[in-house]
Amino acid sequence: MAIAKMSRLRLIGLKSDKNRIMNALVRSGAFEATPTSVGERGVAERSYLEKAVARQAKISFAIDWLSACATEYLSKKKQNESDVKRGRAQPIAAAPVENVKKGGGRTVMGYDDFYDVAAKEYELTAVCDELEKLNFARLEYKSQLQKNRTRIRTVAPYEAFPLKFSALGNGASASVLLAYSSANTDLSWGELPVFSERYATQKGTLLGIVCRVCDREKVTALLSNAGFSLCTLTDDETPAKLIESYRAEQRKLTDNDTAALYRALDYYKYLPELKVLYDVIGQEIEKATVELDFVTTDNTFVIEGWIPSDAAPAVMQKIKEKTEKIVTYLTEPQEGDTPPTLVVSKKIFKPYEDVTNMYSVPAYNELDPNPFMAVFFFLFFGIMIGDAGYGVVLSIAAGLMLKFCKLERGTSRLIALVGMGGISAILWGVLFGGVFSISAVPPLWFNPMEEPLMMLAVSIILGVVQILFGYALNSVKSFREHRPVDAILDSIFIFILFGGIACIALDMLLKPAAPLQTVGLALIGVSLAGILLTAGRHRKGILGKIMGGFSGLYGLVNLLSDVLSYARIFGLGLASGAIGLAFNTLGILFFDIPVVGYVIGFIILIPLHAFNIGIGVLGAYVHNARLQFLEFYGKFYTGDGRMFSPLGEKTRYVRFN
Amino acid sequence: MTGIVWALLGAAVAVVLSGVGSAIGVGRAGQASAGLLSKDPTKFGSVLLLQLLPATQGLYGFVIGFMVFIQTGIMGSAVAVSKEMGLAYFMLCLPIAIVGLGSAIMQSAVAVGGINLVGKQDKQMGRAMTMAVLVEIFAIFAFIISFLGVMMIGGYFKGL
Repeated sequence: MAIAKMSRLRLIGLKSDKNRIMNALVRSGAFEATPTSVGERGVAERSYLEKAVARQAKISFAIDWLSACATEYLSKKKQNESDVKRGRAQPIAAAPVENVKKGGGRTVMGYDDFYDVAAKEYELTAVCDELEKLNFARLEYKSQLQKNRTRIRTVAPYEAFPLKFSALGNGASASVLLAYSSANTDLSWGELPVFSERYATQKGTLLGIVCRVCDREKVTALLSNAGFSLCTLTDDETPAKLIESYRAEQRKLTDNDTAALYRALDYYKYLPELKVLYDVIGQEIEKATVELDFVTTDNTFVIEGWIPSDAAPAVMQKIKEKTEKIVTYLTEPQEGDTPPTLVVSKKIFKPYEDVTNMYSVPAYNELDPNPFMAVFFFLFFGIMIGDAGYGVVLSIAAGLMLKFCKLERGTSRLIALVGMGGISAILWGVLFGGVFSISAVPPLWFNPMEEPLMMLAVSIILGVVQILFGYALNSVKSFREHRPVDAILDSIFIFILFGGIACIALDMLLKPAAPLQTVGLALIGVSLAGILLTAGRHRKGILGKIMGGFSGLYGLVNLLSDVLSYARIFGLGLASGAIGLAFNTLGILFFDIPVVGYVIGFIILIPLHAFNIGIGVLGAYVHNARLQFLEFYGKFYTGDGRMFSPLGEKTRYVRFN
Repeated sequence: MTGIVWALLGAAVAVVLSGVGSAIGVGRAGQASAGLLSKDPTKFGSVLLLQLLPATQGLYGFVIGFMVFIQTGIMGSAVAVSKEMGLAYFMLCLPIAIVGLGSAIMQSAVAVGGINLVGKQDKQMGRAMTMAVLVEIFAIFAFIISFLGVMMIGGYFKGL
């Protein structure tokens, strides 16, 4: 439950052992490399890195292309299946492709399996080569298909013309012309001795024309005036035969393309291994990139980086098992170092880490804010949902998903967060008597709908508790930084102020005999005076100190708005309750219908409540996070840390168990 | 106009204005989201969250309208609504109606900015969300005032 202590590791080893040492460091999952801070760096050798990047690009292409082929096949199959059902087509051949489920996250595997795949790189690269070839072939088929389609489109209007295209042209005294217009046009030849015949077309007009060679120009002019264009094809084949042959070629190309697709899909079984290989090479690239920053001599190299102090002995032990010829130095972080932050929490606080990291990663030297924030986040989430029924639904759904679904770590943490929020909602729902917003359920404490002011007071009081807690943590922080005066003066008057306000509030509520009001006013006076006198203590000069005092007092306005901000707990809790109530009223309208009334009512109620849960969870999550970020963290939290990112962690398809 | 008509006018205004605001807001944010998703479909989750933020104002308006229904006896047991009472309900609906409209539209402007931000920098989701949520507090304040008023004004008139 703290931020892990980091040590700086400097290791000097033999170049011949470099790979073994690097692999041990990667496998430890507890080493983040930094550029070496001693000695002079030689000219980095980049060619290995560049080759690795090229190898990875090849694998990446194969993965993408195979996946695209699989998607293509699956959509074809789906289309085909529905066609077969309607009796319109024969089933297409099966391919060894399973329906890929979306999501599911990275594959979990051990390092041994991981490196087994690395040994298969030669074989897998051959697969990639083959896939590249198939890709080129398919591209070629596609472009030929396109060309063919254009050709068919050119010849198609002339299909009914019974002669070969080579018959067109000028003879000794007669000219044969073929003209097509997309419009339906009649043409009169006037005085010219012309024989023309109209052929059937799907659309437009197709004319075969025989005229004297000397009349040809006049005829052409007439034709073009009427919107006809002359056929310029010269193939020694009739249009019908030509189209037939193009179509045959088209079928052949399509068959070839499909065959290539199936041949590619035969390699589909390699896809999981290709994905692993992608990450294997990814790790090599990561190592090579890090190695660029090493200082090396002819025979040795120096590596530096951060390692959690607790993990250091075990990691050293692992490296020593591989080779004895190393020299290591472990040192504490020095002044000016910026070690990365690794938050070590109990499992139950883990989900809340992500909320904090969304705002800012804790700084290395800072107090770990997560356990404190987690408690408040948990409480507020419950009130904002405020319904035990919803809480049961959320926690059960989250529990089932965590148990039965394979999820990425981030996703499962988010679900755990919502599930815990559900438990909190059950607690608050029982206190408030909210079970699916049914108004008949008696509350254990009070019903916020009937006593909204009480609910507002609860929200504000919880807010004040959190704010004061924030100030207390700020004091702790100042003490840790050896500033005891700040630790006391920065927060004590705030506590006195709220103590005074509490006295007055109690006085108004309980009206006891004791002079609570006077005490309260005195406390408030003391605190205001204290702030006025001490807030400017870091400023220079009398005037500066006075100004600082007043600006400290003015800062209380911000405090007021912080406190009011907690009214959102009340607002969201009420809103989700009221919306639920509204939905229930709608659903109950149907219960009066005999026999089917309850069925219809529930069919309507279930999605409505599901919607309300969805909106409620969204609101509870974002508003809760905001309260933690601005109102709570604003009091003590610095953040701006850098997350510990160990070597070998940046994988795309694989994660290690 | 009789009291009940004023009260219903209030309910209508609360639902309509805040609903229009939310519709504009979610619509604008949705356009920005679709644009981002065309480049990077994996960000659907975070973008959806930002798109939905301006939706709450419409819900607040809906709740207020509904509460007016219950308090004036449109739903449940009928209540005699005098003209003053009806006008009071109308007035009490105005905060969430007007603030809901404005805050939903302004929140969508921040959400659109946030969506662009998330498109460029993955890690900024938390900040984008926080900025957009800042705008909502005013709608929540207005909702609280409208809600408390609508729930309590009946008792006030009974006590007169």
